[in-house]
Amino acid sequence: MFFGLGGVVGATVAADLLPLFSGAAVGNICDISSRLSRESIALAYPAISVSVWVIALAFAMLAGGIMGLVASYPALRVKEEWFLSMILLVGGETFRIVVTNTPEIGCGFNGLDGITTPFYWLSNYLPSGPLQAEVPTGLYAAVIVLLAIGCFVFAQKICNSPYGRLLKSVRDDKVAAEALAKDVSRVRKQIMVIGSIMAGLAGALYVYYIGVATPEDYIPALTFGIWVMMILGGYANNRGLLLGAFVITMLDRGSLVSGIALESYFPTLNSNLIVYGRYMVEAVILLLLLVFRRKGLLPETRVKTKAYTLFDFGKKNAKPSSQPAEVPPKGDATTG
Amino acid sequence: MTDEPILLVNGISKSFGGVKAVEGVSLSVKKGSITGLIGPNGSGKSTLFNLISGAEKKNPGGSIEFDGKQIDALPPHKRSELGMGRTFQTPRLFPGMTVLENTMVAPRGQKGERPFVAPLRRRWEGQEVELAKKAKEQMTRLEIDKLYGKLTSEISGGQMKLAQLSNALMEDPKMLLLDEPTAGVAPRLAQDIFQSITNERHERGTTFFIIEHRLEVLFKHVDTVFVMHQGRIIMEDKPEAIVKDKRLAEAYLGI
Amino acid sequence: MLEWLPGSILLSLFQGSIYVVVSLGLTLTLAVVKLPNFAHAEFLTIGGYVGVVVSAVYPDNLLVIGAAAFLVCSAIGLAIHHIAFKPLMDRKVSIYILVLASFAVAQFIRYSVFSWASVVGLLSATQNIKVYSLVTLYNTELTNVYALAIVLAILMSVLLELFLKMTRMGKSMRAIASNFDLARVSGINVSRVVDVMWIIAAGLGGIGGMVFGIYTTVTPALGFSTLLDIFAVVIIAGLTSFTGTIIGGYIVGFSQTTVMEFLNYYFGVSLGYQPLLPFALIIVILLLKPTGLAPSSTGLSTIRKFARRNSSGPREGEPPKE
Ligand SMILES: Nc1ncnc2c1ncn2[C@@H]1O[C@H](COP(=O)(O)OP(=O)(O)OP(=O)(O)O)[C@@H](O)[C@H]1O
Ligand SMILES: [Mg+2]
Repeated sequence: MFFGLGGVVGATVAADLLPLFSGAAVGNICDISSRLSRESIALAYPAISVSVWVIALAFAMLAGGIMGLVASYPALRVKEEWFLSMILLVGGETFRIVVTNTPEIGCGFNGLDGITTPFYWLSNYLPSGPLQAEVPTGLYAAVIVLLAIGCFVFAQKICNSPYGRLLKSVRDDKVAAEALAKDVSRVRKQIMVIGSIMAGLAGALYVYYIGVATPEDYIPALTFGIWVMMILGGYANNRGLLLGAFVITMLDRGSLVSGIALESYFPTLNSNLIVYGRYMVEAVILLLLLVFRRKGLLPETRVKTKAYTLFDFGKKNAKPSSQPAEVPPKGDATTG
Repeated sequence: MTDEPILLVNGISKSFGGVKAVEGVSLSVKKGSITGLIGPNGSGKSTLFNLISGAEKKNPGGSIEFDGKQIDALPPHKRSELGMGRTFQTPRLFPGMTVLENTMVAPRGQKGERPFVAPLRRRWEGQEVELAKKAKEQMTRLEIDKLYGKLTSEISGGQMKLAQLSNALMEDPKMLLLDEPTAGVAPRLAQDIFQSITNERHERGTTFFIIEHRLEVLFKHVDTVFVMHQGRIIMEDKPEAIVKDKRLAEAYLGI
Repeated sequence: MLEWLPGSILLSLFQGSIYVVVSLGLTLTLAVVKLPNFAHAEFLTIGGYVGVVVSAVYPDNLLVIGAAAFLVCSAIGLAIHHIAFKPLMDRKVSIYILVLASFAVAQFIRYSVFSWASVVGLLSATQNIKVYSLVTLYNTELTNVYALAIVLAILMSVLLELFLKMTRMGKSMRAIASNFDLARVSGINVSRVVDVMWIIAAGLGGIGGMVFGIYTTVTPALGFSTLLDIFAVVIIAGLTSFTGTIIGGYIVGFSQTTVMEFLNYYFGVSLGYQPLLPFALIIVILLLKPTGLAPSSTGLSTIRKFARRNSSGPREGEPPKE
């Protein structure tokens, strides 16, 4: 829901601001003509296209944050934990239905397209050929990877701090945390806002990457993929999430490649089968994990602060949890 | 110890469906005292603590005053912020965290507990080291320092009790409600726990309100004892007087 | 000016009846094994497709088609219970894990159906069952499908009630619903009763889907598109009340059709927003009155007890165990 919201807001802001900044008429952003004018503006004005991109990201994050704050009210009030899943599912579906049926929001069912990467103008300076399209996209992908690393480092810093400890305590036992003067509702609200800001950012980045924001991108099967990533890696573990995202993205890309390969051998085969197969494999992975390894592949790690040095002194690695394996930080679902 | 009360409870009750767990209880605990609360099983002691700490809502009517402030409308974390700490009869720790992390999470007002300060390590590391020193001292005194790296879901019940006590003491509370702090703890350590409680009281003037079934240990350290029976306070006196009173035996033997 | 009304009411009754039949199965699951089964709606898809396949061989033979839909779904229900849910329940996992697992099961079934349907070219299919008008009242045709659904809803409610009140098996099921542990120690063969429960619950989903599939095009997403409506029904019912489910089924049926058409007719609200009314009901009820609108006996307290027993750590909102 927050991801989708970020996408729609980012795309709308971009579509409105590009012509505005370059002095062209804004007009109806859903028109095919406006799409073409967006592309030509992005090609002609490097400064405008980069700054509009930054503003679009900021708005997407803002929208995500506000939505997260709004959603935290029902989230804090539910009586059973599975009611929350229910409410989030309802929220996501509501978002999809509203976007699909309201032409005023993100151009409704057809979606809003013609959102080029912020480096589209580079193709002016490149010789024509395949490189002309690949370099701006590749550069943008690199920027996404950098931002993903940034988010990861931020999350790691937060987790290895007194705040990380606070988060874990609130998760483990609300009553005990309250008895220690922790404002559980406030902490939950904060973390929901932080999470949805990140999701909003990811949504806008994604839309800029694929060039179009359509409601069909927010089907539950995708959210499901993200759950599998989380549980696969170990869901209280940032590195675990990276590992999970890496595996699932490999599965995704692998299924694409094998799909192309299969199609060249069996031209009659429906290429959708590969996508279906991938969703099925994800479901099986999740079930197997839930039954056999609920903690995920990597165990939860300690909150690493200096406090341990007072105790660990003179001992070598007396930790119960082993050091997790390094994973190349490039598993972000939105990168290619 | 002064004569000034730190906790004033006036006519509070609690019922669960038809069961009246606490019925019109009024009491006052003196600032800086060690006060005991005893009574047979199911007499409503833990429920009374839950009402005072806010873990459960009291029935309408009656009032609770702590350190001069009316607290019955406050949520539990606000009461704790005012300086009221507590432990639970069945220990409530954070099972996914180590003993050290459990102790370190306890102190209130840590700088690094704000989300936007947390990524800036330099801003909170000094305080962290100070608290860690205190935690080490505390844990050594309670003999759980060797367990620092164990998850609290992996330690024994007695050790959990101690870890919980160590958490509560880390908060520097004005008053501590301890629900059976020595249940499941070795007898020698039970003596030590009460010794630390007495020391704590002398050093920092902390008030202790303690539910305890080990009367012989409790009576050596408390100033006053309340006896609870069927949801009511039936006696309040010095321990020497209480042991002589026939009503105590009656309550416990159910006569 | 109210020409649309009788037809719309009839359609609401039809949809409501389908919801009742399907949701009775979910209510049973919630009551007996305390599982909010997000895969329940997939039985509807399967029932619809069984209808498509069997009606190609036995056109118009409602009895055979219905029985096939029931049996196939029962078998699948039993299978997912033994493959996915039972191992988890035996491990006493929290209700949250069970919800995740049921999502996984739902996704697996849904995309299995997608794969199969795309291979055999049935991504959108119709059943070979003739729809004809029985009577015409106020310019509205009462077709055989409508009649079938309404009769089925009544029949199934009555049969289920009789089964639970009169038979030994039904009584054991109620005993398990009200106290799992007590039922086990009192010598009830719990696992057999739970198996029967799955047969009935999944079978009801299948029959509902088959009848729904006469009226509408069958697609692999048919079940998923009704998932939240079915949950709206059981949430209105306070999760475990059968009377509540019947009332809830018709509330959701009417809110989707008659109320929506009313809003469309007088206020110009787009019919595309149709699913939002049950959504609103879900959110409002979960937040304000999670015991449901209908009178419910055990309802939430049973679930709560279950969640508590099934979790190692203390849960949110639960008073400390002293
Ligand atoms: N959450 C609850 N729901 C229903 N009844 C409760 C609840 N908590 C306590 N009770 C009941 O209230 C009464 C008092 O219980 P309480 O735990 O306060 O007793 P206690 O004095 O602490 O006993 P013990 O010495 O065994 O700890 C008991 O009859 C108990 O069954
Ligand atoms: Mg007690």
